[in-house]
Formats: sequence, C-alpha cells, structure tokens
Amino acid sequence: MDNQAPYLQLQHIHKRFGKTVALEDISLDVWAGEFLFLLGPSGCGKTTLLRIIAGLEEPTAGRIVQAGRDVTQLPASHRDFGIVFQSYALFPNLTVADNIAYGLKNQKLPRAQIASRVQELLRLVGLQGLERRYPAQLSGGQQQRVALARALALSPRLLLLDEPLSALDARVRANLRGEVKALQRRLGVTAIMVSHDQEEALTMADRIAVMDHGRIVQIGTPLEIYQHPATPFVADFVGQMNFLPGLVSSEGFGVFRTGPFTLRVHGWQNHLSPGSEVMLAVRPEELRIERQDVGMSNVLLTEVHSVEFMGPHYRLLLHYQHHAGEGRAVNLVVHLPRHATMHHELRIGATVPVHVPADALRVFHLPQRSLP
Amino acid sequence: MMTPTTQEHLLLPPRSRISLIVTGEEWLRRLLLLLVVAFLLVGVLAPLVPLVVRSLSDQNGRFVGLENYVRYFNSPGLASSFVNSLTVATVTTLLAVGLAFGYAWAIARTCMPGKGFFRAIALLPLFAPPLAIAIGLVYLFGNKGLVTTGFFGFFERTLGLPLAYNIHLYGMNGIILGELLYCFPQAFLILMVAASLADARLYEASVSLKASPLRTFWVVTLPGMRYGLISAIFVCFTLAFTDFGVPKVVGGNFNVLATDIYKQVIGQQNFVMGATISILLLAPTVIAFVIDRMAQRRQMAVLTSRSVPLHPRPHPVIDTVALVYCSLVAAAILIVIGAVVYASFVDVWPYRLDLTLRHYDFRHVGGGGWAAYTNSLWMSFYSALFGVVIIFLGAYIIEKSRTWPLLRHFAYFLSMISVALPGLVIGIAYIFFFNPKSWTLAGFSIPNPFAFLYGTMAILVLANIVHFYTVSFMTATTALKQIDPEFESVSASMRVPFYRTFARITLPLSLPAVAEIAMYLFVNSMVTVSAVIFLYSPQIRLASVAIVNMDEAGDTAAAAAMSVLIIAACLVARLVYTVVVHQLNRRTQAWRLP
Repeated sequence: MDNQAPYLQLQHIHKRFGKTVALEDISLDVWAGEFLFLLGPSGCGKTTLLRIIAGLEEPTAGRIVQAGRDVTQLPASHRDFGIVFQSYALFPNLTVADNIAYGLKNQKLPRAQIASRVQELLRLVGLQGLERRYPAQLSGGQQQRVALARALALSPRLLLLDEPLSALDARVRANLRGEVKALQRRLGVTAIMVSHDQEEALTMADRIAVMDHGRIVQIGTPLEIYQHPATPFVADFVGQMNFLPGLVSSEGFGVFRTGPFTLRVHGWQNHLSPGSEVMLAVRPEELRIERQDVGMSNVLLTEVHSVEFMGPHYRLLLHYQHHAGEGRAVNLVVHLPRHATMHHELRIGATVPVHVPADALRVFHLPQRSLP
Repeated sequence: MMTPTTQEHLLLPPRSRISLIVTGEEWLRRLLLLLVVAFLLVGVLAPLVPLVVRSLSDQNGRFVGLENYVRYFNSPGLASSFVNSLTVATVTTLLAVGLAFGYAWAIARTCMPGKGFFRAIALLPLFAPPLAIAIGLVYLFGNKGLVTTGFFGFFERTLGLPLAYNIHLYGMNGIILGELLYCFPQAFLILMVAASLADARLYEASVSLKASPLRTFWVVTLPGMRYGLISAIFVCFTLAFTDFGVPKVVGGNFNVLATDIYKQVIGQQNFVMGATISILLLAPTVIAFVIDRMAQRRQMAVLTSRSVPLHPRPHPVIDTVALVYCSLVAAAILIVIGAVVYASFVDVWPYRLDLTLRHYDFRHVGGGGWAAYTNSLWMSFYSALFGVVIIFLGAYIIEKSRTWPLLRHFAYFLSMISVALPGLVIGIAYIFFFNPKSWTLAGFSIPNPFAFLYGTMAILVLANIVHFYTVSFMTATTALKQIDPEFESVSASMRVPFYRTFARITLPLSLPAVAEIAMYLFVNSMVTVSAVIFLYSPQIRLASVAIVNMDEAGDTAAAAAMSVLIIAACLVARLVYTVVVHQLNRRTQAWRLP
C-alpha cells in the first residue's frame, strides 16, 4: 500500500444549506488502513461530512482526493466505498444472501462466483446458515452484520460507517465494537465512522476527529484526545471533566488560585499575566480523597453533597465556595474505587480534603469566559 | 444545531458551487422529471390560462377586465346561485362532519360490535355516483316517493294512518340531503384516521390527574383530532360547493353555481359566462386549499414513535348508544342505496311493483346504453392504468431523487393543486385549451399541438387522471416516504443503477399503495360526471353522463339501472383490490412480520 500520500484528502471543505453553515473549512488526511472517527454531538456536521466523502452530498467548496484522484465532482455511483447506516437500510424484500449479493449481481458475475463470495462474506461476519432469512427475521445485531457484509461485498477500499451501532442494545453494541474493529484490521480497509459515543470512539479508533459546530476542533489518537484535550469542549465531550474557575496567581509560574485554595500545575508553558481568568480542568478519576488535611499542597477542602454507588466505584459529588461566603459553589465529581471508601467517612455534609495532582491539571485560557 | 452565518462567514469560502458530473443515469432521472412536469403543465396549469382569459374577455375575445364578474353579480338570478352554493356547502359541511365525527369516534373509541360492517357501510356511497344518491332520494322523497306517498298508501290502507310525509325534496332540502350522503364517507375516512391516532398515555395521564371525561374530551380528544377536523371540513365544503350531480337531479328551481355553469355552457353556449362562473367556483376551493395546507404544515407529529395505541374499554351504556347511533346512520345509507337498486328492478314505480329486468335494456332510452357503460369501464381502466404509472413515477422522482431541486418542488406544487380544481372547472378549461385548432397569443396564432386529443378517449382519461391526481399522489408519496431513503445511497455505493433499485426494491415494497391508487382511480373515474360531461363526444358516451340524460328525459328507472351497474363495477373493483392486497400480503408475509 502507498504509505507516502494519504489515501483520502479533504481540503477546505465547506458546506452551506441555504444560510446555515453545516461545515466550515474542513481539512483532513486519512491514511490507508486507518480507522478514523468523526466524533461530535448531534448537529455538529459529522454525518454531512461523511455524506460528502461518499458523494451523496456535494460540498459548497473544497476538494476531495481519494487514492490520488480528485473525486470532488464524482457522484456516489462513480466512487469507491461501501457504506453502513444506523438504520441498516437492508432491503426488506430480499433475503440475507440477496442483500449481500445485490451489488455483485449488477456486475454480471457468474452465479457460482457470486454464491461463493456471499458465503465468504457470511463467514466473515459470522452469519453462516442464515442466508435464506429475511432481515425482519434477524436481530438488530445480525441485521447490522448483514449490512456490513453487503458494504464489503464489492471489496471497497473505503468503508463508511454512519453511527452503525447506535440502534443496538448496549451489550450487543459492546460486542460488535470489537468485531468491527477486528474485521477492519484484518481486511486492511480504510474506515471512517461517525459517532456521538465517545466511549465507542476511544475503544475503536486509530485517530479521532472531534467536531463541533461544523468544524474539526481536534484530531489525534484516542489517548492524545483524552489526555490533552485542545479545548474545554473536547475535554467535556470526551470523558468526564471537572472544571474549576481559576485566576493566575502572582506567587509564581504555574500557580493558580481557585476560591481560597492554591493549585500548582506542572508543565505549564503559557505566559499569562497575574489575575487572568482561566479554567482548570481535572478528570474525576484523577482526584484523590485524603484522609485528613495534613497541610499538603494542591488540596481543596470540600463538602460532601452526595454519594452514588456505581458498581466498580463510588461517584462523589463535592463542592466548595468559589468566593468565601457568597457566590456560586464549585461542583467537583470524584470517582472513588469501592475498596478505597472504607478509609473515609463520607457522610453528606462532611468536609473532605481532595488532592489535585499537579500533573493531572489542565489549564484553559478563556478569553470570552465560556463555560462548556 | 448548525450555526447561522455571520457576515464574515459569507465572505470566507469561494462562492463557486461544486456540481457533480452529470452521468447517464442522472440524465435519465432528469428526463423522467421533465416528462412529469410536462404532463402536469399540460394537464393542470396550462388549461387554466385560457379559462382565466375567457372570463376577462367578451364574446368576441376582447379584453373587458372584470366586466363579466360585475355583470354576474348584477343579474339577480345568477348572483343568488353563489349564495345558494355557499349555504348548501356550509350546512352540508356542518352536518356531514358532525355525523362523521360521532360515527368515527364510535368505531375507533368504543367496544360496540359490528365495527367492520359499519365501516364498510359508511364507505358505500364512495362507490356510487352522486347522481345515484340523488336518484335514490327521488325514489324515497320525490313526488311519487316511498315516504311521500306513505309507502304507496300502505299505511293509509291498512292502518288508516296518513303516514305520508313530504319533505319537499326538490330544492335546498334535496341538495343538502344528497350532498350529506356524498360527503359523509369522505369526512368519515379522514376522521377515522384522526380518531385512531390516539396516544393512550395522554388518556392515562388525564385519568390519573382526576380529570372528568368531559374535560378529557376537550383537552385531549378534540385537540388530537383538530387537524383531521380541519381537513374534513375543507374537503366536505369543497365537495358540496362544487358538486354537480346531486343538484342536477334534485335541485329543481334552486340554482347553484355548478348547475349554472352547465346551463350556460350546454344550454346557452355562453362560454364566457361559463368561464366566469367557473372562476367563482374555483375561488372558495382555492382558499380552502390554502388554509388546509397551512393547517397541515403546522401539524407536527401528533403521534410519536413512542405513542401507545389506545385500546377502548367496554362500557355498556356508551357502547349501546354508539351501536344505536351507527345503526341509524348505516340504515339511512343502506335505504337510499337500496332504493336505487330496488327501483331499477320495479316495473312501474309506484304503480306496478312487479320485478323486471326491462330497465336494464337501454335500447329505448337515450344516453348510449350498454355501449356507454362499456366506454366507462374502458375509460376507468385506462385512467387507472396510465394514472398509476404517471402518478407513481411522478411521486417517485419527486420523493426519491435529488435531481433539480427547484423543478422537483414545482412538480410537487403542481401535483398538490389539482385537488383544488373542481371537475367542472377541469372540463370547461379543457374545452378552451384543447378544442381550438390554434391559440391566439398577443396577436399571434400558434397551432395547437394537443388539438388532436379533443373528442377522444385520451382527453377523458387525461381529465380523470388530473382530477384525481392529488389524492393518489399523496398515497404514493406516503408509501415512498416509509421506504428508507438510504436505499438509494446504498445502491449508489454498490454502483447499482437507480432503475434497478426501483424495479427490485421500491416498486415491490409499494405494491399495496399502487393497487390502492389504481382502485381509487378506477372507482372515481366510474362515478364522476363533472369533468367528463363537457368532454365526451357523441361517439364516446359515458355511463355517468347517461344517468344525467336519462334523468333529464324522465327515464328515472333506466337511470337507476345505470347507477346500479356503476355501483356494481366499483364494488367489483374494490373486491379485486381486496383480493390482490390479500395475496400480496400473504406472499410477502415472510419479510413483513418479524
């Protein structure tokens, strides 16, 4: 496979519907064999982008290069891709085998060759023996496997997946995640999947493009996105995040104040003048409950608001006053492993010290003070 | 949510639009769309132009502005028809919608027995020409009618009771009674759908909040059926306002717009006044159409996918009341239709009640007899056949393609407006459009390429397809909307041409709707008289027109016989439809049922 140039290049894609902007200056390279996710809330333009890649929708401006060829003006029927939809879009009046063979038959292949290809695909998605069933006689998970087999029937080099798992039960969904990923690896097909499920993206993607309001706000590996979210929006959308309002302290480099407390941040690069407003962010599992306030640094004294049992862990909702005596309370969610709770007295209303590790804190400078 | 543009957004990207390369397939779709638009332009829009022009011109074709309208409203005899039509339509609408509301509610929301029977009877008048209903009324309430003569003096003779009752049929009473029977099934169909779309959760919520049944009715039932009610009101008003058949038979000296047009055009050959009255006939229906469209647009999903269907609970008192009510309404319908059937077999009403088939021998009456009947069957068959092809393809290209969005919207608009055109207006507009050998436009004479259609079977079929286009189009569109729009995308991704997907997927999935459209077109073409009465030629006489001719000539029994033949043909069509759909469902059970 050609590893020099990206398999798919999107260059400055814009899409407008009348006066509303659906996509704004999207540029993106997808490498051959890569599993890329377009992740974002509903209405962020991710499905529109997928449809533009497929040629089902034309961009208002921009260029699409696939396998070295400019395909911007090619209709879908002249491009190379297979597609799977959330609705499965299986033809209800055709059997499983006929659904999978739908594109093959059009290519005027010999009957025997079609039959053996259908068998091969059924094996691939683990549905041997169901070829004579109709879609209505299958479970949701089975239907989506048929849709996958059908999309792969013509051996496309690009597989497009539009929220394919969203309509399934949680358990089936989790199983299929691994299967789809393994299948994509095995076939080496380049895949682009649209999703609003961050967990799905984190577990399946090689790279994730997080989208918001028609723009790509961050591209990176799942770990990069999770560890180093580029904006508060990404931080909040991928995983859970606590946001603490803060001010740059005059006490030194990388020192911030939130309410009455002082927090130090490791590796802080930016130069902001003392008194600038910032947003400090820390993930719930990174916070630690201390047994008592022993005068450690980076500790917040908080009050327990509620304790929820989540199974593997407890979810604590804590808060502290931002300004002494008045103003809004700052909420803090902490995930505490079940075994760790026995050391703490977690009555509602109790005061607990929370340690914020200096290397877990991210700082967002907010010019227009927009809370996510 | 998509972000609205700001000024700076508008400046950033280049304004050039990217258009996809046009493939052979796309050309084929464009051709199909162009054909549909051409059909609708010729069938719906273009014929209205000479109609409007005529109403603004004098007999010699000179432009006179609104003079004809002024003249119309200044001649008391004519102007009163406008008021008469409004009165009849308003009263009919109130009665028909009110009666149908109760009837639909009883079937949808109670546990009374015999719902299937009552539903079938309510729809029976759909299979009879309005003329037949009027003739049934004549046999019941006319001068020698069953009721008027007290069962031919039976009560007087046996019981000594003068139980004869004269409702003074000819005039407003007769028209309203006839239109009521004609409009009732239409209102019932719409309200039945509205009454069935109830969300049980709303009723449970209302009960749990301790609301009284009356309050629940006002707060839950009525708002839920609001749009159905609006629709039913406008449909009934339009039908009653524009119907020709009933007033033709039982109108007497009570003139309405529809009969005036007929008299002006057929009786006095006054085409200018015919055109003027046609526009007056058109105006309220267009207004009704616009209001109805606006109301429907506001109707967001009354029923969401999470709605729980309401299953009525048995209630002895309510169920009994509902049963009695529906029985009375059904009896009224059956008696009128039954009177037509019975009268067609009676030797000489009311003097010799021996049964005979002689009225079915049409040789000695006018109208065209059995040949007219055969013509009607063929015309209805062609209307169904060509209509279903044109209408379904039209709906398909509008709903399932992305070709030329503006033109598709225009085609959709044309498809929707035909419902606002009364049959008489279509008929008279077609005379103006198709009859001349050439049109004169701004002093130039253009040969009329469609003139060859005039006086042929083709123009009758065209008139019927256009007349019944919108309802069929909506049926097709609804069926197509239920098919996953991504089928087209999936097919494109597999490089399967659209026509193959149409043949293998879309059409097979839509067959029940296709059958329904064909049945609808056949039945309506059989019973309609208004559009075709101006367009039939002496060589191609029609059954429904024959009823008019026979009735005019006083051959009421023959008219009744012809009515029965039409009803029979429609019921057979309905039976065929039922069998076909049953077979379809049986064959497709495997992939329909989970």
